[in-house]
Amino acid sequence: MEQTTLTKRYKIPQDVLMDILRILFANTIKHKIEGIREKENSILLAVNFTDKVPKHTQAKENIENILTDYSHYMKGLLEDGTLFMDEDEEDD
Amino acid sequence: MERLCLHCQTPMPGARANKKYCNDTCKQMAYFQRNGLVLSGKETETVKYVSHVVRELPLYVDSQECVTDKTVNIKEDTEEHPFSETVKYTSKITVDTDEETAFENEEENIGDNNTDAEQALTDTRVSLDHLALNEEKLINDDNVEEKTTRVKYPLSSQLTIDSIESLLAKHMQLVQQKFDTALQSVKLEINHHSSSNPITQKTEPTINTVVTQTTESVKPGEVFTYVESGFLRRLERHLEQHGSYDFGIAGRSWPYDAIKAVQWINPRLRCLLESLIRLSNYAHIDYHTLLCLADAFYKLVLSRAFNNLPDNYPFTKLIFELNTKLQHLVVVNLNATKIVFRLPQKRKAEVAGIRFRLLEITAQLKFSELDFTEEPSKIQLEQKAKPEKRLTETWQDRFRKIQREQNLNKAA
Repeated sequence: MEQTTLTKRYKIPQDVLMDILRILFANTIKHKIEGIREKENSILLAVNFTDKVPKHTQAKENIENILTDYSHYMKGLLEDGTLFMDEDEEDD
Repeated sequence: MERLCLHCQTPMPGARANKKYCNDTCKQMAYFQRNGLVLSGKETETVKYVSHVVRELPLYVDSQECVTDKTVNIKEDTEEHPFSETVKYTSKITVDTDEETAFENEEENIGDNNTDAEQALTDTRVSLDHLALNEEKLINDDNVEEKTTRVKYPLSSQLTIDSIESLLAKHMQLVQQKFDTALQSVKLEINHHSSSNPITQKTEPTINTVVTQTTESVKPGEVFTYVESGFLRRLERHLEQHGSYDFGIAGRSWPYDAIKAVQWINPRLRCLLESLIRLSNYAHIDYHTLLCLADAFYKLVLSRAFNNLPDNYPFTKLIFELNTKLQHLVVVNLNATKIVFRLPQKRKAEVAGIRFRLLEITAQLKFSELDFTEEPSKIQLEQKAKPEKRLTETWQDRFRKIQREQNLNKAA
C-alpha cells in the first residue's frame, strides 16, 4: 500500500522550539534540522508527515497552530515573518 | 479554561470562546445524532436498542396456525416491562392465555371421546361464556365501533360441533385482530420511548440478549496529546489578565498633561520593548548596543513625561524594573565585547504581551528616529506662551470693563 509522505519545512523560533520537539518525539515523527539562523535564534526544520497516520495529521495541526499563534503575537518582530516554508510530496 | 468538543469531548486548546465542535466531522456527527441518523457500518446505542426490543417483544402470535388449528400460540414475556402501555397489553393477553387453556381443554374433550359430547358442549358453553365476558372486557376498552364486530354466541342447546368450530374460528379471528392492534401499539410505543428518552433505554431491564458491540480498541500509544506552548500560554494569560485595560476609556479620566505624557511615552516604550525582544533572540550583542538601550531606558525614566504619567498607567512598574536590570547589566559587563543577552521566558512573555497591546494604539517607530530626551525648546515656548496669553486676556478684560462703564455712564 502506498503511503504519501509530506515533507514540510518550518522555521522554528527558540521560544517554541521545545514544544515543537516534544510533539515530534512523542509521536515519533521523522524530522531533520536543516539549518540554524543565528540572527533570529531559530532553526530550519524539515518534518516528514505520513498521510495515513492520524497522529501525524494531528501533530501537523498542532505544530502549525503553535507557529501561527506565535507569528500572530510576534507580528513585525520576525525578520521576514514566514515560519512555514515550502513543502514537498513524495510517494513511497 | 480549556473547552471540550460537544461531540467527542476532546479538549480544544486555543479555541475561540463560542466554538462547539473540534472539527467539521464532529459537527456533522452531532447533527446526525440529533436527528437519529446512522452512518452505514456504524451502530448507535439507540438503533441497537430499538432493533433488539422489536425482536424481543413480549408478544408473539402465529396467525395462520391459530385459524386452522383453532389454537393460539402466545409467547408471553413474564419479565416486568417498564413501559406502562406494555404492561396494560400484557394484562389483556394474560386473559387471552386463559382462553387458550380453555380451547385446549375443549379440543381434548372433543377429540378423545364423542360420547362425552354433551359434557364437552357444556364445558364449551362455560368456556365460551367466559370468553364472551373476557371479550366484552376487551371491547369495552376500545371504541363503540369495535363492539359491532363482537361474536354472538348461541345457547348451549343450539350448539353443534360445526357451529363450535365456526364460532371458534370467528372468535380466533377477532382475538387475532386484537393481538395485531396491540402488537402495533406496543411497537409504536417502544419506538416512541426509544426515540424520546434515550436515558431509559440504557436501563431497560428486559434486555437479556447479548448485543455485540463494535468498540474500537484504542491503544494507549495511539492517542495524540495536544501540546500547548508554554511561552504562548504565559503570553495569553498575561493578555487575559491585563488585556481589558482600554486606553481610550482610561484616557477620559486623565488630565490633559497626563494624556500628552502617555502619548509621548507609548511609542518609545513600544520601540524599546521590541528592541529588547530582538536583542534577546540574538546569539550575542555588543556592549555599545546594550549601553544605548540602557541609556534610552534611563532617559525615559528621568523624562518629565514619565513623571507626569497618570497613577493608573499600566506599564510604569515594568519600565522601572527593566531600567534597573539594564543599568545593572551595563555595570556588570563593563569590559565585555560580546554579551549574551537573554530574557527569561516569563519576562519575555510579559514584554511580548505588553508590546502586543501597544500595537493597536501606537505607531511603529525605529530606534534611530526617536529622541528619548524631551525637547526643551518646545516646552519653554509653551511656558513662555502661557503668560502672554494671560496678559492679552487681561487687557481684553480691562477694555471690555472700560467699555461697559462708558455705556453705563451714557445711559445714566
